Amino acid sequence: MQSKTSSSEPRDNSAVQSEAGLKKSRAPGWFNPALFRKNLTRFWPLWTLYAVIWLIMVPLVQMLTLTAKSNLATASERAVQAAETLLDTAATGGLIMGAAFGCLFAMALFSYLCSARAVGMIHSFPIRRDSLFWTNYLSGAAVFVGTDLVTLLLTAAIQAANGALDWGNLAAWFACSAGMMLFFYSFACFCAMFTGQILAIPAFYAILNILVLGINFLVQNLASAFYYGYTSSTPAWVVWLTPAYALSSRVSVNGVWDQSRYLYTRWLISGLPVVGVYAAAGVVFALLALAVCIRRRSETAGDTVSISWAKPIFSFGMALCFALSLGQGLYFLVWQSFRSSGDNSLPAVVFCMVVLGLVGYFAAEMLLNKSFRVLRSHWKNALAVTAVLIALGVGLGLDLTGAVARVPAANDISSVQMDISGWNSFSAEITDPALIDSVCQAHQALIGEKEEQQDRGQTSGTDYWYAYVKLSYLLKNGATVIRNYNIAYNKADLEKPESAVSILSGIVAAPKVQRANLFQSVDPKKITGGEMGYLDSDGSYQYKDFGEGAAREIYAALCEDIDAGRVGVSQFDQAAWDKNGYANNLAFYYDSEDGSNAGTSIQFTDDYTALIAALKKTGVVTASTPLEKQAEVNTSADDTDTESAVPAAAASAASGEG
Amino acid sequence: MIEVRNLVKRFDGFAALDGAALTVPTGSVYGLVGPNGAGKSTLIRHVTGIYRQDEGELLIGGEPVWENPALKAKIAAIPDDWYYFLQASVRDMMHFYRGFYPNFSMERYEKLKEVFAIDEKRTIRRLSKGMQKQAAFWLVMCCMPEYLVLDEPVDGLDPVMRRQVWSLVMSDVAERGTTVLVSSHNLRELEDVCDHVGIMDHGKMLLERSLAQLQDNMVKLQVVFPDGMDAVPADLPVVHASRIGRIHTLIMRMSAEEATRRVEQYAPLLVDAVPLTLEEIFIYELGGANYAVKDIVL
Amino acid sequence: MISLNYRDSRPIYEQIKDELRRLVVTGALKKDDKLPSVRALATQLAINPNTIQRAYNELESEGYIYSVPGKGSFAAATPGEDTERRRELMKKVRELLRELRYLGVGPAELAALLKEETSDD
Repeated sequence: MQSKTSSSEPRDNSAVQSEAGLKKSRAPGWFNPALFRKNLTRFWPLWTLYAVIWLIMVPLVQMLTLTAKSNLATASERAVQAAETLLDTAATGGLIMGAAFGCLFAMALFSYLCSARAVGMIHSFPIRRDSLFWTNYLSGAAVFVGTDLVTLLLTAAIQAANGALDWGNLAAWFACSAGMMLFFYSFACFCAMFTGQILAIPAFYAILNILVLGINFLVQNLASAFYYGYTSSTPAWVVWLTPAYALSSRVSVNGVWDQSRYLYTRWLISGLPVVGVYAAAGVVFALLALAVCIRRRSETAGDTVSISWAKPIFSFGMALCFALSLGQGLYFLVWQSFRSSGDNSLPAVVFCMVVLGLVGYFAAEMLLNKSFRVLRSHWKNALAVTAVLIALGVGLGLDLTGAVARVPAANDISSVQMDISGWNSFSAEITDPALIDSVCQAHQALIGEKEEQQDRGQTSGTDYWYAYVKLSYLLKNGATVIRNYNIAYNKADLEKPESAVSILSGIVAAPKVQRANLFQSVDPKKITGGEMGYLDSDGSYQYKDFGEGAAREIYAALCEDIDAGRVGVSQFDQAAWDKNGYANNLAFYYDSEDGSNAGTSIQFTDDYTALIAALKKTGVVTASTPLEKQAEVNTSADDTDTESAVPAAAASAASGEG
Repeated sequence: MIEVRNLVKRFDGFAALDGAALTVPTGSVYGLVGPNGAGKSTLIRHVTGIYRQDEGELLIGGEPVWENPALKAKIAAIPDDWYYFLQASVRDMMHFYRGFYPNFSMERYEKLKEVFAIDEKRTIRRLSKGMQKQAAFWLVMCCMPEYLVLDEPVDGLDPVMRRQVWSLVMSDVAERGTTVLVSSHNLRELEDVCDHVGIMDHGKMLLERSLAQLQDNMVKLQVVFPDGMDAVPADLPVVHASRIGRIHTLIMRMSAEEATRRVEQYAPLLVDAVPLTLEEIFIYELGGANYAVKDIVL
Repeated sequence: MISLNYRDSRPIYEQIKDELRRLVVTGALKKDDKLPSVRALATQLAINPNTIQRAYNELESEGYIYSVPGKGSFAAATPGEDTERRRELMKKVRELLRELRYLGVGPAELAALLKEETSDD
């Protein structure tokens, strides 16, 4: 009806179409320059802030450090100090800037996905979704890479002007700054694809960044409460999955110390490969973000979670997180006001977890549906949540992983660190296979004594001695198993050869172990001196120094005692210590690796015959600086307090004897 | 040509489009009418390639529009809520549009500057809603589109500007064969501007006709029957009949000539064919169906 | 040239047709005068060019205008034999006459009117 060509004027569409064909845009299909330009101009305050902070932290600080005319530092010293500052900024500043601005950049560039109006325009434009993503992503990348390059060149110029040009450190700074930013920015972009609410982006980003660490902590905490001997640990994979933690702990700046000149000559940064790993992960996250972006539906602008399969993950995940964190928190808060710690009720924990888990689940559903009315429609899932949490509780109670009874097989163990804390602390790394066997036996014994120990914990009033034993196994496959036992014991236990404390006593007395305990980091060649504490005539505690020669002789005597098996015999026997222990402390000083002076101090009994002889021979122990047993010191203190009672006692004793 | 076949779109289980079908012939101006919540805007968002349908086909010029930048370059749309960057002026938005639409015409941009009399350097945010709409038209027309999709386009414009805007659009339709899809509540205005109309409700198309078909196939006759005849003869096919005194108003689904001829068989004293407005046509077309017609037409 | 009454409930193309016919009949558009192009009219009146095209087509078939491909539409000299239109108009005249009679206009006055209108043939 319309296209009557016999009408007044012909309407020729073909002219328009061929014109359109000629006017094809010259930009590559995957990138749009107009959008790129718009991103750069639109968010200029954010880009400027990022640039200004880096420009202050790096070139400005470098300039101030290098040109500061303080009378203490020479030019080369200033250069070294500047290098330290630069590397510290790289490690710490790079992390903070990356973590903070990575998120902010992503929020800015993908904010359009959170507004239905904006999506309505952008998605109707002639541009493919992947081009849209890349143009936005590269806008952010261009800003931070560009800023970092400018900062780099400016700093290089400043350094060169002060004769302190160090491309190595500059490159390290750039690698940290750009590498960490690449990871956090890409990860934030990935998080941004999953939501249509602008504030949910930093929320998801922050939570996912610490989720693994947090869940690990909560689960371990729960296990520690219910598994006898179990203690929290942070496996390596948990650290890797918590980028901020991994980067802060594995990227470190260390100085090379020159003892003769008493200063640092160089600073080095280690852990850059870790940054590289995360940068590569960043690239992967960028690709994943692209994949999600392409599939994301325009109508999800404004939704809390935009990807349908992520919604149940969000709800159930939130339920689980609430259960583990707030549920446990509630339990401990309430429980600890009524009962002492160490006496935990699994049903109570599960109850708290279920309650808070349901709160978390419904809170999540309310957020997803943007309504408070979710109880009726989601009750089935709520039942599922309850069931799963109860199952977890049951699983925990049944000790399905066998955590309580787990003692690694001696063959699998590479070394075990034994730490005993309490009134007589002890710490040694044991690598000898025979000793490791003994440790395993001791461990088995400890597990076997669980019931006994729990009974002993309930009864009060009896005089027990206490020891806190921590066993940290390092297995040959790199895994670690850590257990911590609080033992209440008495003299009778020590006399039973099969009891845990007996076996432990035997291990502790082994010469190798004693050596490891006392001189963990000491190289006998590096001993510089020592001191001995004593009580003077007024009864106050003094210290007597002795020099390197004496110290080495005393040290050698101590080693003799160790090798003879006289040391460590009464590690656990508090009665023996009370009777035979000296009030005098002995301390050795030595040079440690980082150039500082360290000390280690010991207490000894009259079993340490060679040591006592050496002390006397070197003149450390004299009449005025005597050895006194702790027991005697205590008694004389009592005597002075109860002077009136003594004559009566002495009189009665005298009359009794006489 | 815009072809929509059996389009289904669900949002959280609710079917916003439930087998919608539409055909907009090339070079025509198609008016899409329907009550609020009928699915007009949803359908339009599919046509502009924002939404992707769950089922069904959507072809423009024979090609699917989804993720088709070459095709989208020929389509320009003004949604009911036009988006602009917070601090942007018309000039800024022009640069942005230019970066996406290869056919953007600076010549037309300059020409229309006179027509719309808006300061191109002023922040759009500070313009009145009506002027913002005008700015949207300005930019969109400069994209030289082959397909123009308008969602409630002249809401908020003063009568002079409405004329101006439609005049522009009609000129393009006449000269460049632009195909226009308009969604509106204002049937009176659509009557002037459209040559095809479609009415939607509950995600489906109820009725789709060319204006000519609608107008030629329904007539309102005012008849005064001869004395002695009080009621309308039974064999006269009337869609609707009413009377005031002796004057019967008959709505019949046939051409004016045909209807007059048939009524004249009864030797009426008076027969007068009165034209129907689009509103009335719709009411009587849909009168048989179970729809709340009052909601549909204003 | 053409103005439309927006309150008129008649379809647009009818209005256009009536206006154009009026112009041709009254001699405002003389024989072979060019009518405004479809495009120009659409732009001026802000209405659909297809509608205008339809009006032009119908006027052409009624014989009031003729079109030359590539050049446009022009007013026709003498309309053709459109009996349909004639019938319609005769019917209208009849109605008008009836009303005039009702108002008391006598046959003499009517005859004078007829003479006046047909006198300049």
